[in-house]
Amino acid sequence: MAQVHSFLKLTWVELKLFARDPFATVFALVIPLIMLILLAAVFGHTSADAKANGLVVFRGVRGPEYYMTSSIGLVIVAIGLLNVPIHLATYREQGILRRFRASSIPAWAIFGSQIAVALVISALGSLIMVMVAVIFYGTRSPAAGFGVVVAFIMATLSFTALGFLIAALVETARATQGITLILFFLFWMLSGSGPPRAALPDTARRFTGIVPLTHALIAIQDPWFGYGWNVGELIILAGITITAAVPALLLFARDSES
Amino acid sequence: MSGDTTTVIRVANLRKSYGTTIAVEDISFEVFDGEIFGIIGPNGAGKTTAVECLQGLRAADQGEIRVLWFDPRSQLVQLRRYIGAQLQASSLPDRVKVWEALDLFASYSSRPVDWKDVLNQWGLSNLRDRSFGDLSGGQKQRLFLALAFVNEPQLVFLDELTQGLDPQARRMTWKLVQDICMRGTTIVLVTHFMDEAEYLCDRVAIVDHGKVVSLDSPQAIVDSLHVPLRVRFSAELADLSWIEAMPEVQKVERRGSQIEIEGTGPVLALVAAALVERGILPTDLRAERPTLEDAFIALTGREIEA
Repeated sequence: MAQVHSFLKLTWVELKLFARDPFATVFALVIPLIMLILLAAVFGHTSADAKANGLVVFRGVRGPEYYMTSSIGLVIVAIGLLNVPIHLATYREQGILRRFRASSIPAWAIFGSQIAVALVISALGSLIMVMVAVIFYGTRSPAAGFGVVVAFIMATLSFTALGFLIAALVETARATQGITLILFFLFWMLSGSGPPRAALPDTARRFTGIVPLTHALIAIQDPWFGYGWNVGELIILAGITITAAVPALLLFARDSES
Repeated sequence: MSGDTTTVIRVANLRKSYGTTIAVEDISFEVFDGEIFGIIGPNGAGKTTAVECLQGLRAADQGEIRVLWFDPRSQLVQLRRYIGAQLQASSLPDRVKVWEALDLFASYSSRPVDWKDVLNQWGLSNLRDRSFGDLSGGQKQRLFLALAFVNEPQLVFLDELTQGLDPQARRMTWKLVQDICMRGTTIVLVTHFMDEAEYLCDRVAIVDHGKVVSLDSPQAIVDSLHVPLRVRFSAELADLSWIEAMPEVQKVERRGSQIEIEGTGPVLALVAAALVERGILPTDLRAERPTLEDAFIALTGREIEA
């Protein structure tokens, strides 16, 4: 019980630290919101069956509905891929991890609190995106709500795991910041969250499959738009989570032992 | 140190290397209950690595370590309940508030203490809502000390406690360390400041190139090297031969009206008496005692780089 209480305390402190970090809040909440408003304004009147390169542009929904889900994807990426690794790399670089460890804060609590923060902030950010979309663009609620929630959680876990891996592999907080920013924009460009996949040139479209955000996006969109649960994408997200988290945690454990 | 000499730390033949670099070659010492034990040496001598092995933050390659009743390698969780740590080059998140750090660390300590008491005890009440990043160097050290004591430890490791502090903050930190010791906590102090070790420590181990080169009280280490005492005063004296003739005097030098005498034993008292006898009453008569720093240079053959 005491362990749970301490864990909640740590998570609460981490949540407050997130809220006090302007870089984190801008990327996690402001940029996805701007993208949503801008792209919904541009493609607000595009019909649901519009085509580009012979492909349906917005997966059979209106532009604002499409960009509501992609802004949820951006929130998740900003937190898991940007905030988590930069935060952890800073902790390691400044000796904060060592101090935590020396004060009996267990490793599971440190990583667990990062996952909890990622889930809470992603949920909060996503709610904001959905509320704006519903109020201003009259978007529909999800066809399969539970499916969306499961896909959302799986997506958040997979990007947080990727964040752990980047923090474990990259030496400094500065380098982490550079690498994750590049990834953030690459993912945005190549996943369909910015330009829809149908609108991408053929060469670029070939890369969409290796971008994790593509899978997260489809996993969230399918139950939302009424195409049902996409089990295949959920399995891919689970695979990303495990393949990233296991080596990351092993690397962190090895670092702290040397 | 009182007459009680219960051993709280026993280290024998500790060895630790990183790849091909040997950080600690062979270190052995004991620390007794209630003392302030210093580990001193130049940067890179292996001091921090050694104490991090004692705290279970690093795994030693070889050697016997016993801290309180525990082996840090196999009984780390139990050990952490009884020790506190101020780590070198460690920090807290810049945006965490003082009270949040205390509250968090207290919740992870095995003995529940009220963090508000700790706040008052360490004079941090007025900094309660201040962000860590906005604290001065001295205030940060005070918070680190408070955090190290949040589980009421029996043994505390303080690594480079006063690095980067201004002289006033250093003096205040020294006072805090002495207060802690008075309350019965054993302290292991790692430092490269010789004056700090000399001022605070009951005993010190001088570490150089991963080995203990001397271990005793600061005074005993200084005495054992027979570094001469320097006596200085100003006087217009034409003839110095009567000073040179004193058996305790080894050397006399004159720089203008400044006279410097090197000698041993009670040379200061004897010179003073002889001066008074001759009606010479310099107002600036003083002795410069050899310090731990002199002893350190003599022992290691190099200067401390700050």
